[in-house]
Amino acid sequence: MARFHRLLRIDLQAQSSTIEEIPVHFEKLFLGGKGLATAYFVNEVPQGIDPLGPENKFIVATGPLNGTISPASSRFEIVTKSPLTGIYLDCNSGGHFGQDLKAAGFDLLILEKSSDKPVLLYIDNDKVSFIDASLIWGKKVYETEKLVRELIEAPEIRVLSIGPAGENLVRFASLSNDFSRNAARGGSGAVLGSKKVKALAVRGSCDIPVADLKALRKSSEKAKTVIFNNPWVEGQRKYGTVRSVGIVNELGFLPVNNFTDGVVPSVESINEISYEKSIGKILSCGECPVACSKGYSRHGVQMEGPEFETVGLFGPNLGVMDPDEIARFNLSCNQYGMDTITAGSMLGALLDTELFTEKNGRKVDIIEDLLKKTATRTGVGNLLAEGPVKVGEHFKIMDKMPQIKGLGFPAYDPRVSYGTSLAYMTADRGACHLRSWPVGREFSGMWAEDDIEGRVEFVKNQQDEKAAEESLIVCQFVYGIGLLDEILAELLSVSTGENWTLADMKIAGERCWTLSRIFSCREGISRKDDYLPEKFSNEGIRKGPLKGKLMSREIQDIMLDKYYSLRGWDENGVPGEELIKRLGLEEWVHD
Amino acid sequence: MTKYLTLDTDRCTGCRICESTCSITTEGVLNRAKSRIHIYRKDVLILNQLFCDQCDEHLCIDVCPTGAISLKNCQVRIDRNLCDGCGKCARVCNKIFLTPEEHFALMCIQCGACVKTCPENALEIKEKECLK
Repeated sequence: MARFHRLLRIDLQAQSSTIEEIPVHFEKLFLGGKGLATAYFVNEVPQGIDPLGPENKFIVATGPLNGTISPASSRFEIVTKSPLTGIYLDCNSGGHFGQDLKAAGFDLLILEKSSDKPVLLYIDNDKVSFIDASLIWGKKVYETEKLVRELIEAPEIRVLSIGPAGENLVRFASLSNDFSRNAARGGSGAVLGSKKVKALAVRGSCDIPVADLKALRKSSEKAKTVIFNNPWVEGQRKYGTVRSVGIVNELGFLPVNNFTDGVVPSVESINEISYEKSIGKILSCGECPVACSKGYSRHGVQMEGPEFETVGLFGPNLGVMDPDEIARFNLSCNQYGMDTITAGSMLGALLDTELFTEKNGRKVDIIEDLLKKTATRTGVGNLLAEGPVKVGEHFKIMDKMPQIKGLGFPAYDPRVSYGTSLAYMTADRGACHLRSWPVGREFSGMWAEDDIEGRVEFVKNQQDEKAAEESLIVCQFVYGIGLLDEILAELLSVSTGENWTLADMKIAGERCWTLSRIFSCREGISRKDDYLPEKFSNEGIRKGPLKGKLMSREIQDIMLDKYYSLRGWDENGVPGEELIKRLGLEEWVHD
Repeated sequence: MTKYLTLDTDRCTGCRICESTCSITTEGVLNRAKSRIHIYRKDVLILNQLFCDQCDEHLCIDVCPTGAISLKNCQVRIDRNLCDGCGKCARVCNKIFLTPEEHFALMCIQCGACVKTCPENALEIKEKECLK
């Protein structure tokens, strides 16, 4: 219940599809969503394959709470091998695509092999159509979504698509649904592009099986109370994520001029009050009572956003303080289908060199031009499309390139705290702020200044819990990061009719986390890849309240030693046999 | 008096909680495709909210070949026993929907359940002079 126990497998080369039953013991071990997708991914994707070749798989997962009336439960998850990092990648998005894929009767969708020519996949419940997409190929995202609706002649369908960047195999190309909601990190858009899939359209009209609908209605009401008692939610509802700009600047860890300064003198032009003037429409994801998405509408530019990360990285990080220019860059990335985070952090390092100066034109025009060239792989854009590592190596700026494992930094300077550094260093997909977020607690004085162990333990536990949260899937902006309230176990249990506790869910999350590391280790990842770039261990933040703060290599080593030991990984960061046995992952470990 | 549902498009965020509420309340199942109100995405920041608003035109009544759609106590209603799911009403009016299996047509019955669960208070049941 709340599960269809069904997997839709699509062979793009043969243009055929099959429906498989998902084994119950998989669900018990991995919960659903991210966990289940990871289990299939690691089982099925061989070592050393080209992420942009036909052997890579593109997995979409809904999750047991998706499609139900559990608040903020409409997110969906993508798992694939990243063309940007060469390791495990998962990314997720809100919007309505996931909810409707679930209603088509599927917990998982696996795309395999590649199509010879551009194709639009239309999943209408059990029926899969392969529609010629030659006429849509080349179109930007907004036009693509409109054309897909016109082609299929169904206003109710939901569309997941790529833009020109995905088609051109830009290694940080994103996926879009509901026009401007993106699953952006790590290049899943390029994976779809390599498979010649321009878009997936879905129409779902199955009854969502819920074990106890009456109980779920009650639990959902309770969940709403939990949500609105969360002190973070009120501001989120009013302003969205952009309200963090002022807070992060005040605390001194905003990315400014390629993660150099930590603060700008004033954020007035780019904070939530500034962006409030441009709100054209407030939108929400499926079943969400918070509606944090603030639709920007100004000077012909329209999108959901800009979100905090984009404002930080395209704003102060590039020395741009004009809110409308930031929105313009955001729109370009949305329309081409590219990750604003990796684009913004990589361009920050590039603009920090002497390569591009005012002699080359206005900075904002240079940025816009570079984005276009990247998406189309024109001129220097062909290099930029390869991502931060290739760019860093080419221009010999790897020491300053804000990335870990090839994934560009989010808009928080990790030198702010031990916990933030460790969270970036050990995140499954590379530098990521969404797996653990200890900094709030660190500022609140939860741990003594020198209590590294407490922070390491927190990061490890929160990563496991977050993996479980992304297996449900529910939104962290609404419920907080991790398994913070018993209500999550209650929603899952009454929806599925299975008996889940938070402790069981956390173990499922740990399984997922371990398995993704096993995959990435198989691809060559080890301790050497778990460090911050040199700049962050050698140079202190230049200005503001955190002036002089850095994260020495010695401290990073202390944290990694403690982290690996706590996880049951060896000193090189490889999961050990005992752990694999304890978690019951033997069948996923191949030599 | 005729009751009808109204929606404030500025307030509506497109969460579709109304859809799930409607299907549970009127059909006893969780299935947004069986809702009598639908929120579609039309453009980047534009939603299209569709539901019967008890208009005065009554094209649905005019085209219904079985007499399933009629005025009852000032309200346009569909008699499920008479409806054969031919879909003519849905073709002349995009505020009427067919069940996924096209067994019969669905139309808002002003029960007010969605009004109660809408987190944005965007929905309201109003009254107007009796339809004739």
